[in-house]
Amino acid sequence: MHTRHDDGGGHTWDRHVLLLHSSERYRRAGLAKWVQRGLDRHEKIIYVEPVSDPPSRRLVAVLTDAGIDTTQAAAGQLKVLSATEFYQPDRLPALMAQASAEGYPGMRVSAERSTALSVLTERNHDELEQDADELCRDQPVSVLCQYHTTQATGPRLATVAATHPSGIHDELVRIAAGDDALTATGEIDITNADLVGAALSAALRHARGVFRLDLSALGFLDVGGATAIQTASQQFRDAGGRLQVAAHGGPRLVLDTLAMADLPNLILTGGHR
Amino acid sequence: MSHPPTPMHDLLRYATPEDLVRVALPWLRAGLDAGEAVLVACAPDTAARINAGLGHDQRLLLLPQAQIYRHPSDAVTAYIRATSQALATGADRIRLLGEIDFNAARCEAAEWLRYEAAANQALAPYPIWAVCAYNTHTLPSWILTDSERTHPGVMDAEGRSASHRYLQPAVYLRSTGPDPVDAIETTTPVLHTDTMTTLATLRRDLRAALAACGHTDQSAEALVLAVNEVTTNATRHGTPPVQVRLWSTPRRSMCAVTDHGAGFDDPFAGYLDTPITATSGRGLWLARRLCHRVNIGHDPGGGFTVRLLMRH
Repeated sequence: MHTRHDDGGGHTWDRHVLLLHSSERYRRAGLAKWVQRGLDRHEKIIYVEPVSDPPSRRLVAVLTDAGIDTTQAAAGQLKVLSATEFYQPDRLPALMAQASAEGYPGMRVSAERSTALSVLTERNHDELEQDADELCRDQPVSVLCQYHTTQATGPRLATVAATHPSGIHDELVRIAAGDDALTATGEIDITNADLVGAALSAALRHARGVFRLDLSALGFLDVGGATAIQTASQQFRDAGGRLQVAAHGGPRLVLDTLAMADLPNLILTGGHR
Repeated sequence: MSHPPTPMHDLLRYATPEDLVRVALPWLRAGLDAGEAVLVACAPDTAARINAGLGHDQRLLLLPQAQIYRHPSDAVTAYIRATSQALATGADRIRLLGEIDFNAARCEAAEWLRYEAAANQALAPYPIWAVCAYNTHTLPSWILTDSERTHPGVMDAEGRSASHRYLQPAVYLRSTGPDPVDAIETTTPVLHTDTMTTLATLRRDLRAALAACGHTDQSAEALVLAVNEVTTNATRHGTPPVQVRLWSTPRRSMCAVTDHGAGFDDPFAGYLDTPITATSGRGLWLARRLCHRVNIGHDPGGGFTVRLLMRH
């Protein structure tokens, strides 16, 4: 069983996680870290690869470029499947059972959104995402979904954010959800303010009472980001929920100058650095 | 004095505190007698004299000058807020006597005068009779001249009259630029990017350049914040390439952001108070809050530049 907070930092790649990328460089780096996490935990690692991908995009090439020595992996620990092989009914539970029978303590699987869409409809894949969510919550399995930013715009962004509550990795910001809390690490600007708003909205949908937005490890917040926080929490706060925002330094300066603490049911904590 | 029919934003020039009190007291008393909300936001000394002169009337509202005049937009916000609160308690008009402390704010004195001009627009929807006190002994003559340009009315011992030098806010705001080239721009830029790539990269480069010049405190981060807002606007509404130049000395840093689009021609840009319920257009407002000066204009050789000056 997964514990909520694993050893230092690695848990950001566990459970149902979204890797939102706008560059191949960032996608490859994130994927490599996710695989390394699986190797460190001796998990079975399944990668769903499009048959049409050039060699440079294959998982093996990505790992080699990242300096990950795949010969260290146990025989069969790293398994590549095609989209047709993976996207079969009940395939994921079957693979998990097989991994368990092979003696692995856990399993992780990743695919790009475009790979899934080569064999599934958008709706089918969205449903699969929701199933994955449930599995990741209770079972020793992690799922990493790789989306290009162009695949997560407009209303789709809200869906994507809601179906990956455990965590979102964006090139500039990492968002992680906890009990009645959301943490944002890195920087928030126009490139990801919508994403942060969508993630916060999704997290607040079923929240009651006090909800903590932890920006203490956030290095930058612009006006658009502060506005996204304001808008995303409006309904929650209007209904009586209280949003506690922890911030200091530059982000705190922005929140103070915009008088965000004057908003109903928004409390700023953390103080100035 | 009866209510003037025109927008109520008057200039009260005084030579000594006694002069100020002598002119203001009857006006404030008339407001109290008429059941209006009466507010005073002056230096503690003046406020005490006025309070005594009005017999410590409980209805008089004293606002802390230090808090209100921390920044021009704080003053506008405070005026509007006080007006709303007064209206909510049943008053139908408010009279407000205020005095700017030019030394208190982060921004330069000329910005205060520009905000005075913008205030004519910002306060127009409210039943507020604002009287601004300017000390003729301590203030430089250019401030006194511009105070006449930014207030429609003048109040003195004889009563109230129109200011013949008053300029419509848009005219005044346009007339105060473009500023002469700041001396800092004649130094070698510590950062010069001809084609901005990403905002994150720009912020990183700005921080590094400022740190190399010894600026790592809140004033440096505030400048990065302001530049980010302006550059975000340039990338969204302007035309690439976006060029960024940074000059820095131990006491001041200036950043110029240039794009090759048509720019915009709103003289009020960034000046008008945006309520906390507004969710757009606040980037430039933030830049004006954080910086000592913000200049916006078209360059002689083409291009549209926003210059941000920060004091450290």
